[in-house]
Amino acid sequence: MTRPIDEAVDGFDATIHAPHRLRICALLDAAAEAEFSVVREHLDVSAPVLSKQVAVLVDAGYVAQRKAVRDTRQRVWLHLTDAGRAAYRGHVAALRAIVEGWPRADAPG
Amino acid sequence: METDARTPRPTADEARAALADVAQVQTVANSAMTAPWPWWHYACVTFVVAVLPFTMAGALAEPAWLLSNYGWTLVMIGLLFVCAVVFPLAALVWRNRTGMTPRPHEVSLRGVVFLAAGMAGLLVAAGIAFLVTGSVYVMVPPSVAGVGLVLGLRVVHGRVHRRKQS
Repeated sequence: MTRPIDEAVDGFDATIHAPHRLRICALLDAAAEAEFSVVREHLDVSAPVLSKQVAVLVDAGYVAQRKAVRDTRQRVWLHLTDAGRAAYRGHVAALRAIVEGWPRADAPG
Repeated sequence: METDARTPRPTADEARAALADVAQVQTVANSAMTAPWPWWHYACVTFVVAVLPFTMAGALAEPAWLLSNYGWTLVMIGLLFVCAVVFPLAALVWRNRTGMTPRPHEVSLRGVVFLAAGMAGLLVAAGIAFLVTGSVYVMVPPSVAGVGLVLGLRVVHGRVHRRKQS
């Protein structure tokens, strides 16, 4: 029988865990949809870097993009897919389980 | 750069750092989306909720006041339409201004459903009371209660967003 903590840790997702991608998912989980340039500004990354990381998430089926008008210009909007939201939340639960389940490095004994 | 399939699981300290990073991003995102319902949205909904019981009395009045019963019914439907349109309009204005579409919070959604169900119940009860008594004053309590519900919803909504930021 697996312990609940093991099940939670099983939600760890290597695709999401890369720092930029984890931050992209965190931002898109908070908002229903965000424009590419707004994500770039919030995460303080260059457009090519964001583009590359988003492409990985799109390939994994975690993020979807569409074009829509904002300020009279066509812009790219990003959102988490249902699978992406579930994977992101599972990943965060896994991180919490790792933090709670493992003793701190500086803990006595 | 990371290689997805071979990324080892993080240590507790690395996981803690990743969670702190997530929390920081979400705080920034939530602060960018604070109170996405603008004042004109609340003003509009409050006005509709305050006036709706009286338009219903007009639709039921015998003999008709000022407008025909049919005219009051059309006014009532128009007000409900305005109320229904103002929610997506506020979200659209916010989306164009910030570049982010707010995700409706569960508590806010429950509040809107509670407001709609509460107003429907109050209107039915007030309509029956109006038909029995014939007095327009029976429409004052549902009007005041409706305004109270909207103001309460605004307070709850503000608290939810403040909690999301903290």
